[in-house]
Amino acid sequence: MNESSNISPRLTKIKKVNPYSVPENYFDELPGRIQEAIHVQKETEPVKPFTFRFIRPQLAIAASIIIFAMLGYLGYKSIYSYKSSIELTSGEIAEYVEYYSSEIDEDLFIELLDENKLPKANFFDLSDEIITYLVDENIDYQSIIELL
Amino acid sequence: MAKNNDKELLSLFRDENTRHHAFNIIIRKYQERLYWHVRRIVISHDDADDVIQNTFIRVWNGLEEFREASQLYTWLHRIATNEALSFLKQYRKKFIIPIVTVENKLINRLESDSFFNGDEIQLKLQKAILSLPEKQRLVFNMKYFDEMKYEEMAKILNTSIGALKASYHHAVKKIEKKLGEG
Repeated sequence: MNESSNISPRLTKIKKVNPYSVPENYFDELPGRIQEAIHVQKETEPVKPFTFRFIRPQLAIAASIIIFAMLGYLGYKSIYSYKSSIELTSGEIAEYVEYYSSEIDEDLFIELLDENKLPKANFFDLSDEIITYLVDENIDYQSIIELL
Repeated sequence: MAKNNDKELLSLFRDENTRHHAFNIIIRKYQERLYWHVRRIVISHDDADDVIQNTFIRVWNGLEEFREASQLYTWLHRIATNEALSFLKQYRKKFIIPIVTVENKLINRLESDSFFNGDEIQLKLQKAILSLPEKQRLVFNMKYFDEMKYEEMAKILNTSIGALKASYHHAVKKIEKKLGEG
């Protein structure tokens, strides 16, 4: 109190009293109410059966394994579904090849085609549709076939 | 009750047969000091009642693990202080608009509290205390009303004695200024 009297003469003049009060018999009843609250807490606490406590570590390990397996599977699925989702139409492939034609090594390309045993286009097997187109455009398709 | 008696109470508490009896004695021994400490922080009786009950429930749950690194009184005070500050923290979250501060709400509660018996000057002092920052308010109440030693406060609040002295000094200066207003 002395240390505050030097810096706070107004505070020093105020009588130091407790201005708060409590309901009647509050402190007589409080211990009983607290004990009751503890009793209720004990009753509502879920009792873990012995078997559960005993196998809890094993359950934790099993759960971990399942989680890891699921994560692995989901990761695998997401990678492969991403790959398969990149499907290009023949038009897009043609566009791509045309755009990068200057950078494509034709020999290597043909070699790759051979290696992968991809079906080669049969230039002599012209469909009716192509022939109709060539006729309409007044193109001599016989001479083209001969040239090939 | 002397320090030795606390040791005795703790050993009674550790015995399953005398646990409830020992805890009842502990509550009766410390309830008033802890209640008034909490009441000065949360202001309303109803809130102080909730906080003090939660405090003793926590004490019940943790007392078996209490290794007497500090005195029982210090440990109980620390739990009560933390409970009261947590209560205010939760209360503060309710006010999204910063104009409505917890301190304003506490002043309103103080003015309408049927369990506040102070006169006009006491009300003015309490309002001045409520205008302090939380830590300064806590330090001021512990030093001025509870007349605690700085060493004891340092253990409860886990703060250095120097910091506590500075907090108290600033608090007293601010209160003096507030008391001089209007």
